[in-house]
Amino acid sequence: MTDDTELSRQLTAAIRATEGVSGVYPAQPILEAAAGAVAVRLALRVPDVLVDIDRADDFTTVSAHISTAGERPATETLRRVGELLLERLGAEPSIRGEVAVNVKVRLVEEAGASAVSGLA
Amino acid sequence: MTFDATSVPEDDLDGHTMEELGDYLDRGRTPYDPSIETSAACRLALVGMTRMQELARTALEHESGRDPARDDAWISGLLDTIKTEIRSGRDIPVGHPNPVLRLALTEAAVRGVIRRAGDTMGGVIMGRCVLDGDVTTPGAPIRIDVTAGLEYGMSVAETADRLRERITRALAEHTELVIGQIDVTIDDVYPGGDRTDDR
Repeated sequence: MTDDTELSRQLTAAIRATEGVSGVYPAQPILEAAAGAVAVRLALRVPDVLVDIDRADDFTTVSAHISTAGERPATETLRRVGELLLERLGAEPSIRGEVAVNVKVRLVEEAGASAVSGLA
Repeated sequence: MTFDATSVPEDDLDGHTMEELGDYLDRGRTPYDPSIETSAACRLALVGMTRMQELARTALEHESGRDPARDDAWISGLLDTIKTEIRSGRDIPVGHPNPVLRLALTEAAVRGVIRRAGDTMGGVIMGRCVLDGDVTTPGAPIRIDVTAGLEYGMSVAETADRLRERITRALAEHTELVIGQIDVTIDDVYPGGDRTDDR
């Protein structure tokens, strides 16, 4: 079994640095995310491993949930993040076989709101 | 280890309650709580609650002639709406030529866009917002159904038209939804105040 923590951390950081992204949220399945949220609350975990990487046989599914800055079209930011993830995964030697990338916008922020959140 | 039923998290708020979020907002979002600030659902709720605080403040400035019981019901109704609308809901797809990429906005994110288009217009306070139709099928026309409170003295027809225009523009900017119709129901009238129009 591959530990994808470091890859998830790198992808999370790359998404955060993408123009138009104002935040990244946990994309793990609900139970895993709930455990993670508790860990964050207890300050046991820094929220920097938020991209979910699921490997099954020769198929890897990567999921990311984001918020976008209202100044830019959410569709544009969404496509940019999707393409970024594909590019990064293409260059990642541990990824073999087919890949699916899911990116979801959970929130379109008001202009300037990302500065308040400190998430970007 | 005993399990206190009251500590069971609200599943839509990533382990938090509306009360906790209200307290956090009252403290000026300090100290920074990563479990709130890194939750999309909590952030959506905070956006709505912040707007509600602003509206409540405006209402207090125009205290005379208001019925406190009616105000409580109004605020409680808005809170319920906020709570309902933070549920992620359906995934609304965004197209990409590469089929490996599955891109979407959640229904809650889109409702947030619609709500902001109205709440920042001036002269209306958004109420319920429903996306009616098959939003999961690209290109399928849908109907938007919104309710709003109207500032006293404003024209219903003109305000509704302006609201439709703003919603149409906001959705065209942030989504690929095909809007067949936008129904606006004015269900309340509130006293006028100093407005910060964003026309």
